[in-house]
Amino acid sequence: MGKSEKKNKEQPRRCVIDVKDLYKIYPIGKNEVRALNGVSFRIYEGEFCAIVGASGSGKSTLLNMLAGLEKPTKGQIMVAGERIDRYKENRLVQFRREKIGFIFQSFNLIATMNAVENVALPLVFRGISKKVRMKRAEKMIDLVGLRKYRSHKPNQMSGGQQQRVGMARALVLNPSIVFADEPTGNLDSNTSAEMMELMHHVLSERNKTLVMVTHDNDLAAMADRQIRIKDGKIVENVQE
Amino acid sequence: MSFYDLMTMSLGNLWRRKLRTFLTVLGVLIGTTSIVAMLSLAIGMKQRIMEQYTGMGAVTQITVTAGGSDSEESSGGKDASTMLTDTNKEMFAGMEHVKSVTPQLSFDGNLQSGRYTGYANLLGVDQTLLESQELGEGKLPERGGAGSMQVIAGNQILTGFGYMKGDEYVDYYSTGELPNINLMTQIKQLQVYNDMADTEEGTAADTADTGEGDGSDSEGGETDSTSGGENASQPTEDNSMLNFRINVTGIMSGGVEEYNTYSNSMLVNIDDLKSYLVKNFGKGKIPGQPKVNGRPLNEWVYSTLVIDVDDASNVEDVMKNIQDMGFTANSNKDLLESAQKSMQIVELVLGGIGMVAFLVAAIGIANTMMMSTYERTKEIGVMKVLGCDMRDIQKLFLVEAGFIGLIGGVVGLGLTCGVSVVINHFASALESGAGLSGNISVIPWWLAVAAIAFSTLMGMIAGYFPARRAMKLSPLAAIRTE
Repeated sequence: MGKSEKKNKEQPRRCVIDVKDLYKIYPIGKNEVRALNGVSFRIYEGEFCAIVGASGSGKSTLLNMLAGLEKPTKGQIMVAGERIDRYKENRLVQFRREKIGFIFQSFNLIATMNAVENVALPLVFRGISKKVRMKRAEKMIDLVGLRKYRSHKPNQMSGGQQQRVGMARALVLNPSIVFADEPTGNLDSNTSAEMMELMHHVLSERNKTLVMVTHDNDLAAMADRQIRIKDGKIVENVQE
Repeated sequence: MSFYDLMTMSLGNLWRRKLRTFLTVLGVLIGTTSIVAMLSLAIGMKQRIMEQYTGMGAVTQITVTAGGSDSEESSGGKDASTMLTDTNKEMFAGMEHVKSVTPQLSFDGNLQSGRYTGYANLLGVDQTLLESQELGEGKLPERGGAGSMQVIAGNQILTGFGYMKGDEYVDYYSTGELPNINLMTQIKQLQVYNDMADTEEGTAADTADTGEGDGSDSEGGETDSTSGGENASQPTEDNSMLNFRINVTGIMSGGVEEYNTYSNSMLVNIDDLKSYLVKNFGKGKIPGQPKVNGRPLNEWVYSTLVIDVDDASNVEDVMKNIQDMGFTANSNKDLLESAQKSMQIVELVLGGIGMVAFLVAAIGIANTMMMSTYERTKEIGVMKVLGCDMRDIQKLFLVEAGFIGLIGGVVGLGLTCGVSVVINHFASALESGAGLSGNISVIPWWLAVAAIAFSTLMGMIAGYFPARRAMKLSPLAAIRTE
């Protein structure tokens, strides 16, 4: 609470994600499954938001739509000032490249590249020269505390280390919002806690917005805002 | 994505699956090799044929004979303007693109030796042509031989000898055996058909032993002919043959099966021929020389003029100009063009056979790339989530496919060059005795460049659909694949 008060002094809090009346309906045979059934909420700049729900509740679908990986059936999505529900795939790719970082549950590092190269990958897509991108990637690697492992391949690292690389990769483009899909889902509880600590620390230091999907209530409790989803609807939207 | 990153990334991906890449490249290699090898054979064949044509008579040459219709008419009404006179020769020489004009004077005649009768065409030619002939035996004639003309005999003249055995005509083509005649010692005269026996006086004033032809070297003093008939079209039997005394000093090289323009001819220096004619028949009575209004021209009329044009591409124009003047003109160019056309068909057929192998290779590339998109679905998805442009993903796959084509093309070309050298080595060893020259397999630089460009392009075409598939993969579906 104290944090938000401090920000209020400087400027009114900017809304970075504004979702209105969002529906996602999958046709399955003759029936339809409403993965999201009229969802509306806002997330503000610098917030750490957890989307919580049991599996099949539609939380992952929501996250995918916020990141522009999936198209809504109906409704508006405004992310970082862009109406991404109207975008074509080409534009969405550009949007992700410029505004978004993404952390996967299963890390999804490229097996043939070492840690630094993996972190530098998004910079390749931006057409940044090798020298510059290696420098930036190494800086990110240092930030997540993997200096020793910078030239290790993914299969030479533990799950926690791999996820740190994943985090560094999400941050290297300096995005305004980071999405994380069950970032600790494949990690043991100790590593999970460390991971969350680091993520929270790094992101809040830079005033980045973090949207995380999880089914773990303990992890969700660390967030500034919890959006609880059940059967495609928001059942609770708590701000601490 | 920068060009450099695109290249290193695709090469890295190919390197990741070494065996699969190698096998696909192997397919392209075989395809390229087959196409290039086939085409190199076709090109080699074409070059040899071109060389043969050039050997038979330069492609820049035009052969001019007297005006077409006139030659059929009686000489009485002939017009000197389309005759191959010295005047016209000079006129041709002055034409644009014409390098030189060499006159030829020819007489058809019979040769006799024992029961055999043969045929030859006595051709008065420029000394340089005489000197350019390769002799199988004997030597070049000396200039100004006294009494008789010194000639080179063509290598196929013996095949023209034959005799009547009952109702059957026996010659080389029916028996397969050459008559045992030594041209250089046994042939001493040529009986020329006197087609110009059109005057009442003894045109063939200087002939001897008409009809017998037993090889005796007559002095040339006897007059055997009676006066010709009034009618030019009916030369009498008696003066219809003229005897030219000849002395064969050399025979052209090449066996009886090897044809060239002069293999049935006897070549003599044209100046020697002229002086022989003047000396033996007298001015105005020279056989073969047409008369205008019953009077001989006071210049030589040739049977053929060979015009050398500066460039093969000008042959057509010059030939047309000459034909428009009323002369008959021919060149090897038509022959050459038809030969080239048939060679093109050979090229197409051989190239087509090679193409089949290449097509299979292209399908191999498409298959490999398609497999690659399945295998890398997840990776592609991650790249898309991380903001890799869809076009970049397409380019990545296209470049990979292109690299397979390029590598296969380069290695295949290298292999073909090696094979080509080996083929040519063995072929030349086999053919050295046959007198053929030139390579069987020829790879010009443009074929090499085209082969590499083509295999790369084919690789990219084959990779197009897999690349599109990769591009269109939904990032979400891609990440979900476990």
